[in-house]
Amino acid sequence: MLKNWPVYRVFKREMLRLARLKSARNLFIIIPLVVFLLLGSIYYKGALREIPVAVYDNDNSTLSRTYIRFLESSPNLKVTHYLSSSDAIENAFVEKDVQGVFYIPKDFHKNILKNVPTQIRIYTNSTNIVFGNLLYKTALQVTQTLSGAIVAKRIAPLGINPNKILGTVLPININTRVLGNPQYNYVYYLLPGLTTVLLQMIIFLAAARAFNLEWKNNTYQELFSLARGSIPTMVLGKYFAYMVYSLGLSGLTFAIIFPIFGIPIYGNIGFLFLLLLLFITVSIIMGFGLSLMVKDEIIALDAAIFYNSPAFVFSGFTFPIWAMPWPNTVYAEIIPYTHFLTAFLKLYQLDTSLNFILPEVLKLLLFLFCGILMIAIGLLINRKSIFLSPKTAAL
Amino acid sequence: MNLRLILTLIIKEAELVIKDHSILLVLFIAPILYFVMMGSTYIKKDEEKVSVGVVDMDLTKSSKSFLNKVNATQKVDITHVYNSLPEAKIGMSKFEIQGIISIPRDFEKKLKKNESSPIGLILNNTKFLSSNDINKAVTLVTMDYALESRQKYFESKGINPTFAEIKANPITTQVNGVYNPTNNYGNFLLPALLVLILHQTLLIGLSESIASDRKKGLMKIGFETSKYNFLTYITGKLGFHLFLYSAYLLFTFLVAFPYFDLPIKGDFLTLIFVSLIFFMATLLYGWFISTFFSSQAVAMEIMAFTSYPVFLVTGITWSISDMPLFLQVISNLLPLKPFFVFIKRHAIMGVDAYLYSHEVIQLLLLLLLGYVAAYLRFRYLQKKSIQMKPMVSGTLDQNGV
Repeated sequence: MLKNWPVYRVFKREMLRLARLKSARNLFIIIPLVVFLLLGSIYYKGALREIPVAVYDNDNSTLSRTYIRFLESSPNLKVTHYLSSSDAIENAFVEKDVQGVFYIPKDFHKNILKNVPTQIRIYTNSTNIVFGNLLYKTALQVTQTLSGAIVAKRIAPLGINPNKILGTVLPININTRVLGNPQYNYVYYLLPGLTTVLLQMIIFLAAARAFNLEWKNNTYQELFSLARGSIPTMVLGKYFAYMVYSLGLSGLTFAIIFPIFGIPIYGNIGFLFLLLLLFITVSIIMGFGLSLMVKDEIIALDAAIFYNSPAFVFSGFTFPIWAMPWPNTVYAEIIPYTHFLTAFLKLYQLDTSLNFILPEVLKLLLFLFCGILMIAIGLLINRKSIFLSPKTAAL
Repeated sequence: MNLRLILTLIIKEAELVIKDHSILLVLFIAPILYFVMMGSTYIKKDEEKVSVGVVDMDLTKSSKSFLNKVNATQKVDITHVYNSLPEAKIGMSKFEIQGIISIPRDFEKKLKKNESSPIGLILNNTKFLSSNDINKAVTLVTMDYALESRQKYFESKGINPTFAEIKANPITTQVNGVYNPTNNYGNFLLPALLVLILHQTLLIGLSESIASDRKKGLMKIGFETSKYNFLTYITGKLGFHLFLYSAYLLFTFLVAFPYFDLPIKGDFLTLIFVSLIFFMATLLYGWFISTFFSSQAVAMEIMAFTSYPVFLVTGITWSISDMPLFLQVISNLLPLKPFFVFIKRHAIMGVDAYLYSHEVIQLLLLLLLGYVAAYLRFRYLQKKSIQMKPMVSGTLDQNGV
């Protein structure tokens, strides 16, 4: 009985058509396998450790050596070079390939003993802010620890209650709790974002050729006859086929790529699956709409690439949307990925319940409506190519 | 090399680009549009006023003063006040706020008694930038409190305020973000992003043009026009693209860089010269790879997906030495990697020439590698095209024209 159902027949035909299509094989298998594995491998170490730094110790005293030992004991730093003159500082970043230089001034120890203010200068190579930020944080931590220890030593002989030393030296203690990615792991941070943005791009690009390629290859009549001239049948049949391929791609992402790189999923898998279903549906339907509106498949592809390529930059993942100028925030809003990402992060990293992603779900539903509208516009624009007369269909 | 034939090939390429709407779009509209769209995204260079929620259980002058100090920092904006931690966590789950500062009861009492007062800081670390900025701002404010507390203690022991201040903070730090003093995101990413836009649009446009040539049989005609001279053919075929992207190059360094307030500290002529080597190497690589595509659509699809891996593998965001060996090899085989390093050292850092000479040599070697690869491919395709039946070739000629 299923065999005679037109939707199933279109679905089966589309499954086979996609399997034979070189472009679909590239998009759904080769590109994700290569690109996802490559992207994950870039950040496979997860966190930056042992950033190479140089030290110019112009004091060479017990205290300056203690400071250097503090630096060496930090997991974030690795003292790889000891400079012997201040002239070397300028070119150390390039010549010694270090990301930071610590300069300990002359009479560092003596000045501290004499209560003369002394300053440690730290130069960070901030052409890369990942290193810059980490160095800044570590430098501050190390210096404050040593500074605090010195103050504690100074306070002790003044007759302070030992229980109050900590409260005097460090009156406010921060108990930090990190939600989402407590390991500060770059694979956990970047790979889910990159793979899901590419997921949208792949599905959208594939769907953008769903109908116009039929016209180009003169196979539309066959499709039309198989669907008995019903447009909803055609769309539904194709939709299910694309959904199967897209779910396969999602499976590759979440069941293979994530475990390979040890990416944890904190949230409910069922909720994530539902969100993915909606996101995939939106991408497919919008792609179909484009495919029906633009008869030239290459121009449709251009438009799809044009629309999807900046999705990652505009999603607010690495740079917040609120820091962008308003026209860019508008563009960010008109990309489904922006809303999917917010909902995805809420579910997958913060483990929230479904009601927290309701605003994003509503926005994605709005995109679905836009996709349906695009399909309707496509049907109107290309009605002569879509609604074939019985004679033409028979041919 | 025949200049007349080169010119003929350049004109043919220009005609192909103008007639093909897709290539026209990629080569003429996309670079400018992406420059505007992507560039303007980072025009403010950095984020400010990250939303933070507070739960103040102490509700004293001290707790309010602490929160005011946090709020006065450039990066943090206290936008939500909650009555309890669970309520604040709901706000975070809704992404209304990126962090929560929670001040417990007895905060003021403990401060006055010189006891350590713990405060809670909950960070939403799904996005690193905001999380880091909140953490940094709160840490700096607590450090101010530490200095104040120590100073007060010394003063209470009869030490004069100036001396007490020095005693309270024996070691100060001055962190200088060299080449990007405010350590901002825009200065870090924009130079590389602008180059990437040119690189990717060039590759997509070129691959489309070559795939179109192959499909229509125009490649053989191109070979014939060049009289099977590789240098003539390649100069003619790629000359148009090199010319166009030289214009974009000037636009990038003369208009985009100053507009986005990006420095060019090194010598301008060297910058242009090395950039041209980079584009020539990219064009040869691009031609070589594109000759494997026989469909414009497939060429576009594959090239479009190279943007992220090509950009990230160059080590712009992550240390190359921390990547697996095979990626380090791949990275060093891409002209983009030494070019990014060159741009960083020459334009942004303005270091002496000997400190980027290694990158220039690497680019020249990659240019040579691209040339050899393209030459061998050309000879292979030439051999293949000669082996084709004359009738087929004739048909292709007619269709192609």
